[in-house]
Amino acid sequence: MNNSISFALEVYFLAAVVGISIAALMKGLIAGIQRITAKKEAITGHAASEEGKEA
Amino acid sequence: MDFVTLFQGFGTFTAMEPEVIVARIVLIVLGIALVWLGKRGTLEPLIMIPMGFGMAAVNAGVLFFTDPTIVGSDIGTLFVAPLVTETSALMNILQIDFLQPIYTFTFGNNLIACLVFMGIGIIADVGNVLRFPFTSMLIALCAELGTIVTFPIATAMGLDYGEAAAAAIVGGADGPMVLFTALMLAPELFVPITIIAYLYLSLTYGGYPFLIRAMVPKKYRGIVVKTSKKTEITSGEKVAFDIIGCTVLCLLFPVAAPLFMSFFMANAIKESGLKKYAQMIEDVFLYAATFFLGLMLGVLCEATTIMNPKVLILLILGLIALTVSAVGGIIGGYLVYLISGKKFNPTVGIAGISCVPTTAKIAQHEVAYVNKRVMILQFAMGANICGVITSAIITGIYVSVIPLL
Repeated sequence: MNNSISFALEVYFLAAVVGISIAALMKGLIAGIQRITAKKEAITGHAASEEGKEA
Repeated sequence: MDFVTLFQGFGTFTAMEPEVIVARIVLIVLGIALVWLGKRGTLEPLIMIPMGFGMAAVNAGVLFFTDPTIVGSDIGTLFVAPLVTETSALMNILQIDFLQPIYTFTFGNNLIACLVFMGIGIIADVGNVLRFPFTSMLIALCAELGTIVTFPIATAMGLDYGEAAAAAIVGGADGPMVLFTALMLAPELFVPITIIAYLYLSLTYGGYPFLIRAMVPKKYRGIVVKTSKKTEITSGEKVAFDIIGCTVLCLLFPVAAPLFMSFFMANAIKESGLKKYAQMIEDVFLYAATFFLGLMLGVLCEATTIMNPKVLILLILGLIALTVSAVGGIIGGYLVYLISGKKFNPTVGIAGISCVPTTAKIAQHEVAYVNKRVMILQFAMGANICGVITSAIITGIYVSVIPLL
C-alpha cells in the first residue's frame, strides 16, 4: 500500500513537471513566433516606407 | 427436430450453469435498456445504441458448434473471440466470427484508440490552451487527482499495478486513453474496464452539474472572467505547437507516441486547412471508430467475460476515479481563483477533466444558469484540451514504467 502511494505520488510529480514544461514550451513558442512576426512586419513596413520615399 | 436444437439461442440455456444463464438474461435486458436510454439521450447515443445491440445480440445468439475443435468450445457465438491468441486458431476464427477482423486489426494493436484520438484532435482547438497555458495546465493537473488517488486504492483492493493503473486512468475521463492503457497493461480486464469507463463517461452529463452546484456556490459561479489578452493565436502558431509538442512528447514517452501523433497530426491537418483530410477524419474515421467501439464493447459483454469477480471492484474504482478527478478539477479552479486575485470563475475547474467537449459545455451551462453574461467557454476548452494532454502524459508514464517494475 505504502509502495503504491509513493509510486502514485512519483507519477503525479513527474506528470506535473512534464505538464508545466509543456506549458512553458507553449508560452515560449508563442512569444518567440510573435516576436519574429513583429520584427518581420517592422522590417517590411520600414522597406515599404523607404520605397514610398523614393517614389 | 426438438426445440433445443431448432432454437439454439434458447436451447443453449439448458446446457449452461445457472449463474451464466442469469448473467445472459441480465445482459440481454441491460442491452435493451442501453438502446432505450441512448435513444432518449440519457446516455451517449453514439456509443450506447451500437453497444446495446451488441450486448443483447451476443448474449441471445449463443449456439452449439458441431466441431468444437475449430473454436475451442462446443457453445459460443459468431461475433468475436477476444481471447484467442494462437495463430492457427486465430486464422480459423477470422473466417468464422464476423467481427474478428475488426477486433484483431483495430483493437489488438490500439488502432481504434488512435482513430478516436485523431477525431478528438480534429475537433480540438489548441488556441485556447496556447492563450492560457499555465492556467489550463494547472487546472488539468488538479483534475488528474482521481488517476493518482485511485491507484493505491486499487492495489489495496487486490489489483496488480497494471490493472490498478488501467482502472485509475478512468479518472482522466478520456475513453481512448482508457482503451489504450487497458490493452497495454491489463488486456484480460480490457473489456470490463472500458465498458465501465464509457458507461460512467456517459453519466458525467448527469452527475457533474450536481457536483458543481455542491462545490461552487452561486456567487462564485456568477464571476465574470475578464481577459486582458486580446491576441489571437494564428493557425501557423497552432501548427508550430502541434509539431513541436508532438515531437517532445514522443521523445519523452515513445510507448504513447501513436496517441500523441494521432492527436497532434489531426489538429495540424485542421489548422493547415486540409479540408478533405479534415472531413475524412471527422466524418469517416471518428464516426466509424466510435461506431465499432460501441458495437465491439457490446459484443464483448458476453456473460462469461462479465462474470469476472473483479468487475465489482472496477465499478467502485471507476466511480472513485471520476468523482475525485472532478473534485480535484474544481479545487484547481479555486486555486486559479486565488492566484488571479479572485477574478477567475472556479467552475472552469470541472473542464480540466478531459471529456472533450462535454465537461467544458457543462461548465458553461452551469455558469450561464446563474449569470447569462458569464462566458467561460474559452477557458474551459483550454483546460479541456490540456486535460487530454495531461491524461496522455500520465498514461505514458504508467505504460512506460509499470512493465519495468
